[in-house]
Amino acid sequence: MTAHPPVEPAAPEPAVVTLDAGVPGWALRAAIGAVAVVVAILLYAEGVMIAPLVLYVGLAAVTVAIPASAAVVLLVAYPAVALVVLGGAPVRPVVLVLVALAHLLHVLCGYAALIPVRSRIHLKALRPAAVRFALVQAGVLLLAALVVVLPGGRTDEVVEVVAVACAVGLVLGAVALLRRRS
Amino acid sequence: MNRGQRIRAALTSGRGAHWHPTDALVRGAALGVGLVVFGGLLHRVELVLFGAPLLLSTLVALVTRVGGRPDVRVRGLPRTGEVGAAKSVVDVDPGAGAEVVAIRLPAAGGGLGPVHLLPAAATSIEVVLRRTAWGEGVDLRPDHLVAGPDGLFAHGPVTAPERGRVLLPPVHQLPAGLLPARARGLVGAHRAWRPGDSVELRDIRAFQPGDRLRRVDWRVSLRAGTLHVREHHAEADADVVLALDTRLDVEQDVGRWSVGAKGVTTRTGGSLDLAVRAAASLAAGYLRQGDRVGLVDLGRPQLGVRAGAGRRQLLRLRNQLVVCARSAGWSQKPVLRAEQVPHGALVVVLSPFLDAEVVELTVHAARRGNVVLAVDVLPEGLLPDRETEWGAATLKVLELEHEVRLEAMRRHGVPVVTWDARAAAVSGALRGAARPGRRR
Repeated sequence: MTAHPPVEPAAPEPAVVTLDAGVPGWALRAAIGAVAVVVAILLYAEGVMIAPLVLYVGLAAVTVAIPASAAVVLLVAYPAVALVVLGGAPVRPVVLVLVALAHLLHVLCGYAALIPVRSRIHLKALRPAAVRFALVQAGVLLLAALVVVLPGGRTDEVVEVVAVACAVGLVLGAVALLRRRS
Repeated sequence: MNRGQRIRAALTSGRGAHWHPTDALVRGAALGVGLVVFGGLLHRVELVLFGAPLLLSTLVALVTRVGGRPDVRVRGLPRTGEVGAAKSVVDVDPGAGAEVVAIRLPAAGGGLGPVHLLPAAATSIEVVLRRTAWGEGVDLRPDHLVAGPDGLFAHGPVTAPERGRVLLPPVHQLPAGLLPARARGLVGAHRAWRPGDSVELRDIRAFQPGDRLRRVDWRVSLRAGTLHVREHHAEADADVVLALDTRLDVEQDVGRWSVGAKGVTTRTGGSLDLAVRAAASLAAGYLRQGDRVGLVDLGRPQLGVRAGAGRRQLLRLRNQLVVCARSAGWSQKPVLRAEQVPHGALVVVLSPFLDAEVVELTVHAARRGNVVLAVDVLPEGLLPDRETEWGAATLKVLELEHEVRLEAMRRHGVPVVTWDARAAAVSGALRGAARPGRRR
C-alpha cells in the first residue's frame, strides 16, 4: 500500500465582482468643464477682463474635447499667471481655492485622457485618487499656513543662493527621474 | 530598439503593451517644477502654492513602483451555447503598482460593450453575455489599459483577442406526433403501412397459413363460417430529410435583397433565418419521437448530415445548420440526388421558392416515391423597393410568380405550407399526408 502525498490546499478563488451600471464617461469631461467655468468666474471676480476669460473658456472647451492635449497645461497654468499679474496678498482664500481647482483639473484630465467618452466609470476606481488629492491639498494648506506664519522682508544672500541651488537640484532631479522611468 | 520597434513607437506615440509615462506626468512635472522654481526665483508665493500639489502628485507617481505584465484572461466561456444570456468571468492581473484598470466588457446593451474604469483590486469580474441572434459571433474582446496613481503611468491600450461562441438555432416546441412517414425499421413510434403488431386495426381478412391463432377474430369467423384474422399496422421509425435551400437569404424589404447584411450570419427574420429555425424545430420534434433525421444543403451538398437518431444527432444538426448558414450564398443550381435521400424517407424542403429549379427538384423528389413537404419560408408581408417607381409592380410580379410555383407543386401532390412559429400548418399537412388510403 502506497502512502498518498499530502494534498496541498488549493489557492482561494478571488472574489468575483459583478459589474454595475457606473457613471457615464462623459461625466468626467463635464466635471472638467464645470471646474474650468468656476475658475473663470473666480478670476472674473478677481478682476480679470472678459477677453482673456473668453480665451480661457475656449481652452476649457478644447480640453473637454481632447483631455490629452497640450491645452491642459495652459488651463492649469493660466490662473497662477493671472494672479501674479493681478497682484494682491499672496495667501488669501481665493488663491487657495484656485490652487485646489487647478490641481483638480490636472487630476481629472489625467483620468479623462485614459478612457473614451462612451465609457462607464465605477466610482470605487477613483477613491484612492480622491484620498490622495485630499492629502496633497492638506499639505498645501500647511505650506500656506507656514508662509503666513513666517516673517516677511528681505532675505539673506546665503538663503537666496541655497534657494537657487535647490531650484536647480529640483529641475535636475525631475529630469533625471523622468528619463529613468520613460 | 531596432528600426521596426522605433517605427511602431513613433506611430503609437510610445503607447502600447508596456509601461510608459502619460501626458499627465510630463504636465505635472513640467508645471510643478516650473511654477515652484519660478515662484522661488521671483519671490511669488502664489506660484509656489500652484506648483506644489502638481509636484507632489508627480513625485508620488514616480516613487510608486509600477511594473509587471498585466494580463487578462477569460474563463467559463463555452464554445457553443443557446440564444440568450450567459455568464463568464474575466480575470485581470494588473501587475505591481497599478491603481485602475480600463477594460472593455459587455454591458446591458449587448455587443462588445463600453470601456469600464475599475479599481485594479477587482481581479475577477463577472460579465453577462447577451446575444439574440443565433450563429457565430463575438461575445467578448477585453481590450484593456492599466494605469498607476493619477494615471501618470499606463500600460496599454492593448487590443485583446476576440472570444466568441456559436449560438445554436433555437428550437420551438412542436406538437407531438407530427408525421408518420413510411416504415423503415421494425419498431418505432409511427404507424407503418404494412401489417405488424401494433394495436391499431388495419384489416380483417381470411385466415392464411402462417397466421397466428391469437389473431383469429372469432366473432367474424363464426358469422362468416370461415376463419378470419385481425390484421394490425406495424409501428416503425420514420426517416426524415431536411432539405435546406441556402442559396437565397431574403428579407421583408425587397429593396434590401441585393444588399449584404453586415455583422450577422443571416438576416434576422429573413428566409434563411426562418428556414434554419424551422429545420431545428422539426429535427427536435422528430428526434424526440425516436425518428432518424438527416440534413441536406441544397446549395452545398457536401455540408449534409446523414440521418441519425438521438440527442447527439440534434446537436450535430444544429451545429451543421450554423455551418450551412455561414457558407450560404449563390450556387449554380440546387442539388438533391437520390442517394442523399433514404428510401421511403419524408423530405421536407425549406425554401423561399423564388426560382423554378428548386420547384423542379421538389417535384422530382416526390416522383421518386418520397413523401415530400414544401415549407415556404418567404417572409410574409413583402415591402416594395421604395427607391424605384417600379417597386410595387415588381413586387406584384414576384408574388404572382411565387404563387404559380407553389400551385405547381400542389398540383404534383406536394403539400405546401408556410412556416409559422407554432408549426400548425406543418402539423396539419403532415397529418393529411399520413391519412389511410392516401396513395403512397
